[in-house]
Amino acid sequence: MTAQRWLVSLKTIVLYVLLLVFLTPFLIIIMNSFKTTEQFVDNPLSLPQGLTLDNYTSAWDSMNFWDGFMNSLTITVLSVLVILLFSSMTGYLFVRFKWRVNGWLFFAMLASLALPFQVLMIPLVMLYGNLGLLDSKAILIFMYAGFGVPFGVFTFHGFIKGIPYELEESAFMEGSSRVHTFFRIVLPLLKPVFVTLIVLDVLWIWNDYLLPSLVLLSPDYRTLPLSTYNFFSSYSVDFSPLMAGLIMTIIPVLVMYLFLQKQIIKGITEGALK
Amino acid sequence: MTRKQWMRNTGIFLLFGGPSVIAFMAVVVIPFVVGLYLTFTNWDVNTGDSSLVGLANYKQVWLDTVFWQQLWFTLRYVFCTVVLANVAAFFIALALTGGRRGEQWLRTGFFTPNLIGGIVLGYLWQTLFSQVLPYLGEKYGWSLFATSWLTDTDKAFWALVIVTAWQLIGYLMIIYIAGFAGVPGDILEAANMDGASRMAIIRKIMLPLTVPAIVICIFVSLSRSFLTYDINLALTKGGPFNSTELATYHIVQKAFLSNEYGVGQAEAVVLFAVVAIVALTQSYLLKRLEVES
Amino acid sequence: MLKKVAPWLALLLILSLLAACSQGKGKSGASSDANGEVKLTFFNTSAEVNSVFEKLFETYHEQNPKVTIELIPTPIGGAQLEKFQSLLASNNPPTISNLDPGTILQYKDKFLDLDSEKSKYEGLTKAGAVENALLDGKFLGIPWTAQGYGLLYNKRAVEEAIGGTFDPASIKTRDDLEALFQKIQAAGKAPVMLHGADWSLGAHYLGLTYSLQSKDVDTNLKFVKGLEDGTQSLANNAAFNGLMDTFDVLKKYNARSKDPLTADYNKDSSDFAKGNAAFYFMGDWTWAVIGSLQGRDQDFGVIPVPISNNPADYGNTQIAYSEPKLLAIDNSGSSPAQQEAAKKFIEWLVTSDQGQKAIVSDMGLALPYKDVKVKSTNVISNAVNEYVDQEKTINIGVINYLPQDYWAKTGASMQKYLANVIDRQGLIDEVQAYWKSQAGK
Repeated sequence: MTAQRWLVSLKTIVLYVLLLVFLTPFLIIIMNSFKTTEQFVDNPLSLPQGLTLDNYTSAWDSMNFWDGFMNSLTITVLSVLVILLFSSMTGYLFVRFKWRVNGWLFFAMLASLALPFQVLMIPLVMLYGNLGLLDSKAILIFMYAGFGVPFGVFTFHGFIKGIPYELEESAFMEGSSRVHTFFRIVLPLLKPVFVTLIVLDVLWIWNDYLLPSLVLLSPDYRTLPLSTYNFFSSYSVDFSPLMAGLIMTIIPVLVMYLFLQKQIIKGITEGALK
Repeated sequence: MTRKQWMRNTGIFLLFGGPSVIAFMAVVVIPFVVGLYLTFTNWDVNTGDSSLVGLANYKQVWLDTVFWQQLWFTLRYVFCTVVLANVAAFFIALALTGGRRGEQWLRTGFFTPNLIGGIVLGYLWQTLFSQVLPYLGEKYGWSLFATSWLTDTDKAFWALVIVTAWQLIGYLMIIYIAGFAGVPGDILEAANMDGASRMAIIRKIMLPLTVPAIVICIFVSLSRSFLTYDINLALTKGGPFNSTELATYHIVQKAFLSNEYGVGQAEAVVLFAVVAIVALTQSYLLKRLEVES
Repeated sequence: MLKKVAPWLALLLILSLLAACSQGKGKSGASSDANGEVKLTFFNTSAEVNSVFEKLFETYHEQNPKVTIELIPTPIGGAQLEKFQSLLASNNPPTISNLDPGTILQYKDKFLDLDSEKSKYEGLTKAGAVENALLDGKFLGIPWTAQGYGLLYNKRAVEEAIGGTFDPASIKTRDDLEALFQKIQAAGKAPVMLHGADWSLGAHYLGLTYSLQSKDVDTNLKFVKGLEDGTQSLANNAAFNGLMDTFDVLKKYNARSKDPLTADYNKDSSDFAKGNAAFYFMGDWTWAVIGSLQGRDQDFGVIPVPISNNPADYGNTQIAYSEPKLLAIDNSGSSPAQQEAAKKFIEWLVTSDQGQKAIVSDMGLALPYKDVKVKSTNVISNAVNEYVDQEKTINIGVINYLPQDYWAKTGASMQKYLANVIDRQGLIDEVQAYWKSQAGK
C-alpha cells in the first residue's frame, strides 16, 4: 500500500514537472510583456524591472483592440454555431442513413481533412473575388462553415455511432418526428462532443490568420490576429507589444476554456456517453 | 422504394445534409476541382492565361528531386510527431480523468499551448532554441544546448517535432478526455489505480472502448502534422540551408517564390494524395480493430 | 408545438444573423464614386514602417478630404508574394504597391507605365535615381527610398581596439581589412558580425558577384545568362573568388563563429550597436533596430567590402547602393480617377514637408531627392550618402532581373559554406547548378 501511495505521488510529481515544461514558454511571454523588446533581446530570462503596462497600452492602441475584438467575436461565435449545427445534423444523417451518396460525401469530407490549404487558396480567392464576394464577414463565416464542417461531421459521426438506436426508436413509437428526435434525444447525449468541438473550433477561428487575411480586405473588418501586423517587420519581430497583445487576445479564449472545461468534466462524471 | 418514401428521404437529406453539403461544395470541392484543373494548364496570375499543357506540370514534379526528398523528410517528421503526441496525450488524458483535485488546472495547463496561433508560437520557440537554451547551456555547461538546435540539421528536425507535439498534445488530450467519457467510471478508476493489472486493464478494456477517440486523434494528428506550415515558417524557415523544409513549405516556395504556380499546385495535389492514403488507411485499419473487439 | 419549432427558429436566427452582417458593405475594395470621392489601397511590403504610412494617409486625407487611402499590410511571416498574387487573382489589385523592383518587373503588365511622369521625376530626384529605377527601359515604379550596404563599423569599438582614430579610407584592400581585424581581435573584441540569414548571405553578399562584373547592368545580366547556359563559370571568376576570399576572412573573425547560422537580426544588430562587435556586414536599414536602442554607441560608419589586394579594383572603394522599393500604380483594375489620385499622393509623399519628414526622420530612410530639407538622424544612412555624393557606389541593378528565389536558394548554399558543410568547390557547384536550372525560364 505504501508503495502504491508512493507511486501515486510520483505520478503527480511527474505531471507537475511536465506541466512546468509545458508552461515555460507561456511564462516567458507573460514575463516579457512587461519588458521592452530591447530587454527581451538582451536576455529573455531576466525579470521585469517594474510592473509597467506600456506594452499593453501601446498594443491596445496599435491593434485597435476593441474593434478587432468585436470582429473576432462576431466571426468566431457565428462560425462555430453554424459549424456545430450543420455538422451535428450531417453527422447524424451519415450514421443513421447508409445511402450510397452519404457514403461518398462522408468519404469526400474525410479526405478533405488531408487537403493542404495552399491547393485551395488561389482558386478560392479567384472564384470569390471575381464574383465580387470577398471582403465580407458573412462570406468568411460561410467559408469557415465549409472548412469546419468536415471535421465536425467526422467527430460527430464517430460518437453518434455509439448511441444505441433503441433510444430513438422508442421516441418514434411515441410519434416524435425525425427532427424532433434528433434535437430532443440525440443532441443532449452529444454534449461533451459539442463542448470539445466548441473549444477546438473557437481556437482555430480565433487565432486564424491566413484565411481572414485573404478574405477581409477593409481595415474595419480586421480581426485580432490581423491587427498584429504592426509588430512584424520584414526581418524581425517587435516582441514586447506583440506579447502584450497576445495575452490580451488569449484571455477571452482562456476564460471560455475554463468555463467549458467544467462542462466536459460534468459530461464525464454523468457518463453521458455509454 | 415508393415515391412517397423517396420524397421523404430527399427531405431528410436536404434538411440534415443540405447546408453542410452546400458549404462544403462551395468552399472546398469546387475550388479543389478548379485547382486540380489549373495543374493541367500553364496558368499563372500574371498572364491569367490558362491553356492546357497536359501532364507537363506533373512531369516537373517527378523531376523535382528536392520535393521527393522533402516528402520523405515530412514522412519521418509526421511519424515521430504522431507517435510522440498520441502516446503522451493518451497517458496525460488518462491521468487527468480520475476526478482528483487540481485536475482542472492541470488540464488547462496542458492545453494552453493551443491558445496561441502557430506563427507567434514558432517565433517564441525560435527565441527559446536560439537564445535561451544556448544561454543556459553555456551557463551550466550542458553540451546538448551549447549551440542552437536550429542550426544543426538533425537537431532542427527534433526541434520541429517537439514544438509540433508540444502543441498537439493538449489538443489530442481533450479529444481523449471526451473519449474516456464513454468509459464506465469503475473501469476508469481501476485504470487509474496503480496495480499490477493496470496495463492489462488499459490494453484489454480501455483501448477498445476508446477506439473512436483514437481514430480521431491519429487522423487529426496525421493531417495536422502533414500540413504543418506556420510553425515551419516561423521556427526554422526551412533552415539550416533548406534541410528542414516540410512539403507544404516547399510547395508554397515553389508556387509563390519560384513563381512556378502550376508545379507547386501539382505538388500540393501529390501531397494531398499521400496524406489521404496514409490517413484513410490508418483509420480503415483502426476501424477493423474496433469491429473485432 | 414550441419544441418542434425551436430548432427551426434557431436555424432562422443564424441565417438572419448571417444576412445581417453581410449587409455591411458590398465591395469595399478600392473604388471611386460620382461625387469625386476616391478610395485608394496601398500594398506595403516595407512592413517596419506600416504605422508611419498609416499616419501619412490620415494627414493626406485631412488635406484632401475626398481621397481615402487604406493600408494593406503584408502578412506576418513574410508571405508577401502570396498575398500580392491573391489580390491580383481575386481581381482586387491594390491601387499603389510598394514593391521590390524585381516583383514589379515580373508583373509589369499589371502596372501603369509612368512615362508621362518621367521627366518631372528626373527633375526632382538626384542624378541617376530615375534611371536606376527603370525596368526594361520603362518607368513603372517611382523611387522613394535608397539604401546602401557594406561593412558597417562601430567607431568607438574600432578606435578603442586600435588605440587611435580610425580612418575608414585606410582600408583599401583585403589585407588591410585582415590586419585591422587582427588588431581588434588582439584587443579582445569580436572583429566582425556576420548575420547568417539567407537574405544577407545570398542577396547582399553573394549577390555582389553579379554586380561586380562591370559597371554596366546589361553586361552583368549577360554574365548571369552565361552562368545559366554554362558559358560562364564561377571557378575562374575574379570577382567571385575575390569576394569569397574576403568572406573567408570575415568567417574567420566572425563574432558568431561558434554558431554562425543562429541569425537573430535583433540580437546581431544590437550587439553591434553596443560595441560587442566592431564591424557588421549590413546596411543602413538596420537603423530601424539600432536607432531606438538604449545605451548604444553614437558613431557609426560604413566601408566597402574589399575584394582584392589592388586598391584600384572596382568594389574596393565603392559601396553597394540601390533603390530597394518602388511605388507602382495598378493598371489592371483601377479607374483613371484612382490612378490620377495615386499619382498625386505619391508626388505629395516625396515632395511635401510632411511626407519627407515621415520618410527621412520617422522611417529613418534615405530619400534620393534633391530638395530634402529634413536632416536624417540615421547616422549610417548619412555615411552612405557621403559615398553617393562622391559617386563611389556599386550599381546593383542587375538583381532586379534575377529570379525571385535566387537569394533563398543560393543563400542556402552560402549558409552551408559558412557552416563548413561544403567547401569552395561545393559552393561553386551548387550555385552554378541553381543557375543552370533557371536556363530558359
